[in-house]
Amino acid sequence: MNRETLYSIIIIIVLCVIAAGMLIVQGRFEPQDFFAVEFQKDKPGSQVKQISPPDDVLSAFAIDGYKPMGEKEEFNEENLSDKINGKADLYLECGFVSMASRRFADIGEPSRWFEIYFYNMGEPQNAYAVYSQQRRREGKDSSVAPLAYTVENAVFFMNGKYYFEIVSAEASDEMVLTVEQAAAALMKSMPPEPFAPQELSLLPEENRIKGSEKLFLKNAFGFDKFPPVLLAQYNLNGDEITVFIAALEEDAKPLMVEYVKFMKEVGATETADAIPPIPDAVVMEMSGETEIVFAHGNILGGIHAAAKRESALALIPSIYEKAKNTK
Amino acid sequence: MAKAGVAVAAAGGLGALLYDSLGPGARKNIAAVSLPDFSIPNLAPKMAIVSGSDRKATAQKALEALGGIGTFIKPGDRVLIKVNAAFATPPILSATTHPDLVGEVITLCLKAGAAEVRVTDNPINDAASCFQLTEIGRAVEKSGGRLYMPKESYFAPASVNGGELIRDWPLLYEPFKGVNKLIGLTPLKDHHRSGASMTLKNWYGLLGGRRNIFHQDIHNIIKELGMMARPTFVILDGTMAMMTNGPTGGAISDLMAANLMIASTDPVAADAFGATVLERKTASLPFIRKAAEAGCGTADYEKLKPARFSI
Repeated sequence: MNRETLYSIIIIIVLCVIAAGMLIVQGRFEPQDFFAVEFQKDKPGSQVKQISPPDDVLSAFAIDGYKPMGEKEEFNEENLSDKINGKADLYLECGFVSMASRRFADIGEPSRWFEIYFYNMGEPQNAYAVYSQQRRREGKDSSVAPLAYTVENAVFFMNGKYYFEIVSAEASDEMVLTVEQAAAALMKSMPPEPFAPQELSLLPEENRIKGSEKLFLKNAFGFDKFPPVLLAQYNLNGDEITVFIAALEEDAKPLMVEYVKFMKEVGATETADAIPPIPDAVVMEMSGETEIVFAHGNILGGIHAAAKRESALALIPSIYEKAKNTK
Repeated sequence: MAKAGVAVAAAGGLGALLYDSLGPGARKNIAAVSLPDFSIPNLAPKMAIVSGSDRKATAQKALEALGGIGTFIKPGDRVLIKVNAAFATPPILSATTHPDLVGEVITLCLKAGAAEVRVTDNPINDAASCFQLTEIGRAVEKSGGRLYMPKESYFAPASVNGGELIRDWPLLYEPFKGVNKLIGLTPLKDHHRSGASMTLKNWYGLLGGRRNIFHQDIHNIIKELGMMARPTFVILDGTMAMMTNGPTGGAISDLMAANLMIASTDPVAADAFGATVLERKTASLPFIRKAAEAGCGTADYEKLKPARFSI
């Protein structure tokens, strides 16, 4: 074989490889990759297939008297909003990994059905954040799973990094029992992993409204420098007051100074109130509401948007004392 | 050399064969569209607020207070009703338009002589389940309406005049063909991103594509939706208002029996009133101010001197 022939063969092989590559890429052509104009695909759910056990528990899930209404649906961060629309942001902001859902109907009465939403939030703290931010205060505690509570038509709970909602199409005692049975069946497929945020131990129990705790992983009160902040409602002589607490890895004083600056930038003014047991506490007023912030070591705490200043001033010493005395 | 020349010629020929001088052709046969103004010409903005728990009765009364369905729907009209069927959830959760309201408005339109009443929404995920489990599909069928389930061929690129976000964006357009009246039926809800989901936000369901990117600029997209769709009238259903955990809810305890039905020719006014029911300040819902500034209506709903009834 002479040199020219060899070159020709090499060129043809290279060109064939390029042509094959082009055909493969064009075969996968999606207009939405190129244009703002996109078109709906008539397909449910998505093609997320990377969910590993126990996330896959819904595939084989069953309880007596109920049958699946269809296949399990799976969602990732790209398409979660297809399923839950604007609620998706709450999950995405808290470390969402994946969600699987499936509906089950009463075999004898198909209009009685429920749907399981099974969120993998990556970390227990993330699961607690979405659980607590949606916690219905009217909910009744249930023993079927960690932090479980029921309302008239549903049960909500979390286990480790997973957050669950089991929502029924009917509000009745019987359906509450059914969704609790479903929760219990789910829990059989995984070891119980109770969770409590570390900040909870910094808050006094006295006057705290049960189930009012909410964990915000970032941007609490619109302040983007806050680390995870736990909020809880307190009832002091009929006044409901929002308390917040955060445990930093470093001295909290600089962050307190930044927060006070932020509050003043958005219109707060510092008052002359002094709180004797708390050195360096700052009391501010904005739109007729009272804001208090203090720092003790690595702990930042305070009261947010209290309607009555006297109630806020009366409550804050107990918050400070508990934070100060918690190891 | 001759063989090399043949190889190059063959490769060139193959390239010429595969060359597409037009580029990807997804748009070439799809004409851009825009929505006409469906409001009644020369009719002063009107609003009615009716208290009561029976959706059929309160909707009837609210429309009567606006001058009667005949003020809006004439014999031979072709009507499109945009519902909220965004989720495959049951009516008791009030996350979607209630089937009783859908059925009643279809019935009223047909009684007024409408030649056809269409109902549509683009829930994106599993539309068939959404229309079935919300019971909207059954209500449409029972009351003589025609359901338009979204499918790929129903979308056409649309732009909003003066808009910055809705540019060449896929719009659920097929149901609009031949229609001369547009009605929005919306549940009153909290919304995690926008603060509230009411009549203006309802038009979001007409968009296709990866519309979730608009959540990053939620107040402006709602404003542009108001600019895009000028309805004949809207009804905001606050019978069971979703006060928390919107827009999906999930628990009966997320709801409050506000027992209000609001009908209005001005969606901005309806939303401004809805905000008060949700215990929101108008200032906390910037889309209301933005829509008002864009000429979509007034945030000062009292200017419309709303008719108030209790039944």
